[in-house]
Amino acid sequence: MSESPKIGLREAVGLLTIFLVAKAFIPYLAFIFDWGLSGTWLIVLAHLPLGVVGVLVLVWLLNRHPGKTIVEIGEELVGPIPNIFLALMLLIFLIGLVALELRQFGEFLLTAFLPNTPLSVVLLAFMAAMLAVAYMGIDTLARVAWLFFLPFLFGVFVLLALTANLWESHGLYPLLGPGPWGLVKGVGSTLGVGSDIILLAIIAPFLASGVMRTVGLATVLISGLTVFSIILVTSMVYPFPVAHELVLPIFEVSRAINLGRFLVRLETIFLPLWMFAGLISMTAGLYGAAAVTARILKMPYYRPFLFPISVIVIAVSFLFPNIISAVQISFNLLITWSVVPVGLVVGTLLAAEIWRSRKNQQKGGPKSGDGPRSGAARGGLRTKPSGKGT
Amino acid sequence: MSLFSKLSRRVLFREPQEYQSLFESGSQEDQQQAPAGDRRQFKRKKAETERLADLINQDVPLPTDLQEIKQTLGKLFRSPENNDVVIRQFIIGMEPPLQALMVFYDGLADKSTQNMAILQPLMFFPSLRPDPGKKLVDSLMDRVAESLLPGNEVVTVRNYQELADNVMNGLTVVVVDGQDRALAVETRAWEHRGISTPQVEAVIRGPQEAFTEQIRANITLVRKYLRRTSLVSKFVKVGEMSQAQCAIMYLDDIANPQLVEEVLRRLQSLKADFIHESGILEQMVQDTDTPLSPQALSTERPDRVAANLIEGRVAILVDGNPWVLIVPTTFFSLMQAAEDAYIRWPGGTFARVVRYVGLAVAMLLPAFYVAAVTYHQDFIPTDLLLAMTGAREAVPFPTILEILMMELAFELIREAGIRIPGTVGTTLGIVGALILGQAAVAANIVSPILIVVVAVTALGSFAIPNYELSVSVRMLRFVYLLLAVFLGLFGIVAGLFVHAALLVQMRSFGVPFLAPLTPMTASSPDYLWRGPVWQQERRPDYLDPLRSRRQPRISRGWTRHKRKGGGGDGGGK
Amino acid sequence: MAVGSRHNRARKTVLLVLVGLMVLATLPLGGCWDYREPDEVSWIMAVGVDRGRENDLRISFQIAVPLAAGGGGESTAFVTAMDVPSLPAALEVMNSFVSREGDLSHTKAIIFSRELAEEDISGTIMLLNRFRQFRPTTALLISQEKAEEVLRQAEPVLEIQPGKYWELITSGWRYTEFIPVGTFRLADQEIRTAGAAGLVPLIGLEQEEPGPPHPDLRPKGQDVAGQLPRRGGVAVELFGSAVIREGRMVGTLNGDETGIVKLVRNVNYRTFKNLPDPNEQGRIIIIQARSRQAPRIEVDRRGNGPSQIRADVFLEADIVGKEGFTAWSHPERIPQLERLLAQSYNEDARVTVRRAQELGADVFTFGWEAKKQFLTWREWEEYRWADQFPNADIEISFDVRIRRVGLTSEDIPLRRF
Repeated sequence: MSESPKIGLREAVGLLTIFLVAKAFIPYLAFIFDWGLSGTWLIVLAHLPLGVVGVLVLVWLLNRHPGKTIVEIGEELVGPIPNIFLALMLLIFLIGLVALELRQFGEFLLTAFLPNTPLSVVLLAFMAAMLAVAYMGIDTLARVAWLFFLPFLFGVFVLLALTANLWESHGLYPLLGPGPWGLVKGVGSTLGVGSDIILLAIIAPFLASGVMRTVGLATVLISGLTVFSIILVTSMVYPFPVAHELVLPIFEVSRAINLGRFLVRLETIFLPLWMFAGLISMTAGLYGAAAVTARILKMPYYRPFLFPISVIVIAVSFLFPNIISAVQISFNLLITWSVVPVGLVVGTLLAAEIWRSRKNQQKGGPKSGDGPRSGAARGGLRTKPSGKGT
Repeated sequence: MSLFSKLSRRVLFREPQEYQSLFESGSQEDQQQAPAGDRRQFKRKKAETERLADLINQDVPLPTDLQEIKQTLGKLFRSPENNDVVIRQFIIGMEPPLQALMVFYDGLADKSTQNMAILQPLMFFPSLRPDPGKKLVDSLMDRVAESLLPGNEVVTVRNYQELADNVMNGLTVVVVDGQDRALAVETRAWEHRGISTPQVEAVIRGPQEAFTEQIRANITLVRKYLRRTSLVSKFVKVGEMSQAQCAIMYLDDIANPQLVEEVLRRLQSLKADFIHESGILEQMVQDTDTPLSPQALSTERPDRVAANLIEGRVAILVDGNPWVLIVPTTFFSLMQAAEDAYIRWPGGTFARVVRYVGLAVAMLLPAFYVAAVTYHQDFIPTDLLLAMTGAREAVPFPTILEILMMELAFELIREAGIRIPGTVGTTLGIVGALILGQAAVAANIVSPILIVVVAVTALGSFAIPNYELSVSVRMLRFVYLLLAVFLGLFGIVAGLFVHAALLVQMRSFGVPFLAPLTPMTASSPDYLWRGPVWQQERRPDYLDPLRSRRQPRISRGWTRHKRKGGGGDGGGK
Repeated sequence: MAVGSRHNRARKTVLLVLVGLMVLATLPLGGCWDYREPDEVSWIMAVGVDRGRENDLRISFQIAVPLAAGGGGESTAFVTAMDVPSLPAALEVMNSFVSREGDLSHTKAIIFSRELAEEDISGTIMLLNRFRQFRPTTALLISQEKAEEVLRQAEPVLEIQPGKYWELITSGWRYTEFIPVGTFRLADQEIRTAGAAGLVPLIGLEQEEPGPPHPDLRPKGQDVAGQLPRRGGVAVELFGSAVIREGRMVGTLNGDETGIVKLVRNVNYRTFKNLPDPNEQGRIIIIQARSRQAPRIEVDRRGNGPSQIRADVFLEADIVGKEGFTAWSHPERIPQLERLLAQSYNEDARVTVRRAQELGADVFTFGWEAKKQFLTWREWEEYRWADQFPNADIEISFDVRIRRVGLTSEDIPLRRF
């Protein structure tokens, strides 16, 4: 009963990857075409090394404090009061993420499949399933994620492959889209695309020791490549100016599948992909928010917070007057600016950690000679753009 | 005790123990309702039964006086009223002659064995084997047991409980005057069914014998397959009012000792009225009470039990029942059939894949049909859609009602098919095929494609090898139907999500129900994909067996040593 | 394992109750808004869009009669037309005289009349892009006659229901050179992105009066839809293509020109070529050709001036038949035949290029190749491909290899006794 949940390596990768990839299934990632024009796929590609660096920094930080979530690490490093601000920032980020994703998955369903159903019904149905599973615990969720992970990846790539006869290579040109500077700006303004990886810092205590780095790297690579493939194929099926217009790029890609008289109109077959991606990622977000709340309040249980948070999430997701403003806000908040709270939390803690280990080094014996210095070098890379963002 | 506390104790915080004893002694309301004249008799009777129950339950030693024992036994076995029990008094032909008593149930004990192994030697030949070495009085019972009773199993009995147990198990108990011990002689010979072919788990290839109702025979059947000294069959008595003889079987050098301990712990802790069937036992020992799936594998095939034991599982046998429980059980073992392993692996894998398709179809096809037809019409090929629409033109019911009617009709056929007497069984097929198939379509009650859907669903549910799982799936089908009606495919997917989470959370004797898929543990290719026999190198890791390796990496020695054979034809190549 | 079993059970109960409540809570809400029986919907198989008499547009729907597909009933479809401001409006207006809700999700073809297309169809195309029921795999067609009339005449002979007819006839591009690929997705992309012009199948009705007699040998693809010398079958014919530039139809390509464009665009199909026998007057050699590998297109951009475009198309061909007695299948003659064929194709290509440049429409999608030469989107836009294309120096050359000669290697000359 009271034994703490355990999450295996594969389960963690499945959960985190779906958590990161889900954004490709709802409208807001499509706004990235604003930045990259025909070179959007390069932006996504450029995120990969950045994500690898970022996750290495995060893993380094987490590994210094085994068995603790980022909230507790923060408390240890910067003290309880400043940490509350950091943790609240994370909490707001997670709640915002779930609320915005929920709204968009709901709107997606309404736009694509259930045009006459009220939004509230769809959102409540989503929330019911999410709450039930979030209540069962993060280990259950992670296992469910792993259960659906391979079919999910398989489905995504089958969906992309089925459009092979529609690929037009010219969709990837002009190569640099808005020009080199424009691309760099695009990369800079979409840095938050992988900030969801912060979930790793929340489920860290449940992971076996030593697998954190593998989990982080595998997650970043698999999800990065998946999102990259999605953007690439979208660009090739709907070359740039058209891709730019689409509200639901990958949905349109699935609608475009045309392999003779029988293999058309397949989007319904792929509906489970959207739903599983949405349900798993939002449940993870919901759990994350509840877990952070519990840690802030130093409670051993997250369950009491699930329901209140779900109410907040539903309320927030109803705040937006229409889909396009929700999408716009999502993009700005989750893709452009989310790097600020996440980067700030990780950056602050990193700085504190380095500062503390320096102090320790000066005071006493050399605790770890190489770690902090290389960490500082990596940390500089990651924290700089976020600093600029603010 | 104030009224309130009494109330709260009785109503709100009723403790199970108290509740149980209350139940056993008859509730007070019953007593108060009885008429005054009967009440005294009732009380007397009750006191007497309690005294007799204490006799059995409280380790009362046997008295030395034979007449006292006879009297008590008569009461205990309700002798004058109960004609089953035989309490026969005879004299052992010793010097001096001794009064003795023989107790047994007529029908449970074998008469000729009694005559040959008890009465003859005791009455006629006790003097044939004098035993001068020992004093007569001290070792009378030893002498009787060692040299006078030629029965193959003679047990010493020291109290009423043991005595009653042995008598109820078909043994004959011999009580000798002046002794504080009695002897139980093996004379069991009750009627039972012979070993026959499996009725439910039939296979085309593989052994064709099934368990019977006799626990001894069943154990023998398993032991026949597993010739290992480490095969343990441990007897456990389960139940309160009528104790069932249960046995757990495991391989001592493979099964995880903690698992064995846990199974024993659960069985021994049971305090139930009447557990005479493994299905009832299963409900008493399963981890969670969920309608989603059974958590123990019941099988009637000794070969299957043997195969599972050798993987490190534990089998629970219940006397009087041909169904043996195997624990822990995961989802994948429920979907396996014995034959998968007996035919070559591509065929086995194919059969298994077909079975999983059957499972998916049985659970989801009607729901998917409803979702596609009423929500996602754009998914249906145009020709089919128009044909379906055309065929529905004259059907007055909405699709969901149509499918519910047909599914219920199918369930009716199925249920009726089980309950119907064999002599009229053939009519059922005619009724089902005719009325529900053609006539329903002809009468415009359902559309023809729906018949196909229901039929394929039925086939899918029959392909599920485990009966209980198939019952669960058939019920879940209706849940998914409802979800599909309310939200289309989205409803189904949301249901699947929660369903998957519930399954993931389930455990069977502590083993996650979906192992080794999640959590991923090392295992041989024997789950979704059944690999070749020579690749089955490990026992399931989630069972944590004492020996994890089944066979070496090269299990087919000839592939390596074929050259040594000196051109023998063994290599084949 | 089950130490706290009572606690555990309580937790499970709470969980079940929670799940149950959640599910139950959605049930009364789930009033099945989107639940609809397929027989409460009228499935529109094809849409026609004309210039309206009393309103902006005249939309006509070809609606399938499902009873026919289901086995009973006489007619397979009926056509209804109405003057409305827009297509969705038609769906709504339709319900006042068609008993079932109209649905476009199974629509196989949308037909614009030429009259309308020559004005402007970009508005409707953008609308369709946004409209959920409409699918990108639907065929987009332009009809010489009124679209409504085309729909009325489109009574399939081979198929039970018109949807299949439209699907099959518009996928004719797989086995004939005269019909371009006509999916809405492709057309939409061509029409609305720089660097290409839309090529849309042209549809017409069987001509009533036969044209002027023309007894000489004449290439089979010199017509466009509505002019074919033929009789019988469904009155609707697809032949040639309409060229659309900036949302407007600017002209047509005949069947042969369409074939050349398709070859350059790397749409693989088989085609028969009737080559006049150079040795024998009035006799022809019949060749079946198809592309052998993807065409190689090189765009040489000289600064901001007109480009030089060179396209090499690779074909492989079989001799299907010949009327003359020249031994063309002799290995020594085959290279000559290949040259002749290439010349013939090159000539066709020159005509087609001239036609395209006259229309100012890059139907070959050379622009998409040119795009790869630019580094940034701004440069590409500033180059203004559409303006540059008419002045581009375009050379399309064919390279033909004859591989097989059919079932006979050589014909014995007819003996004159």
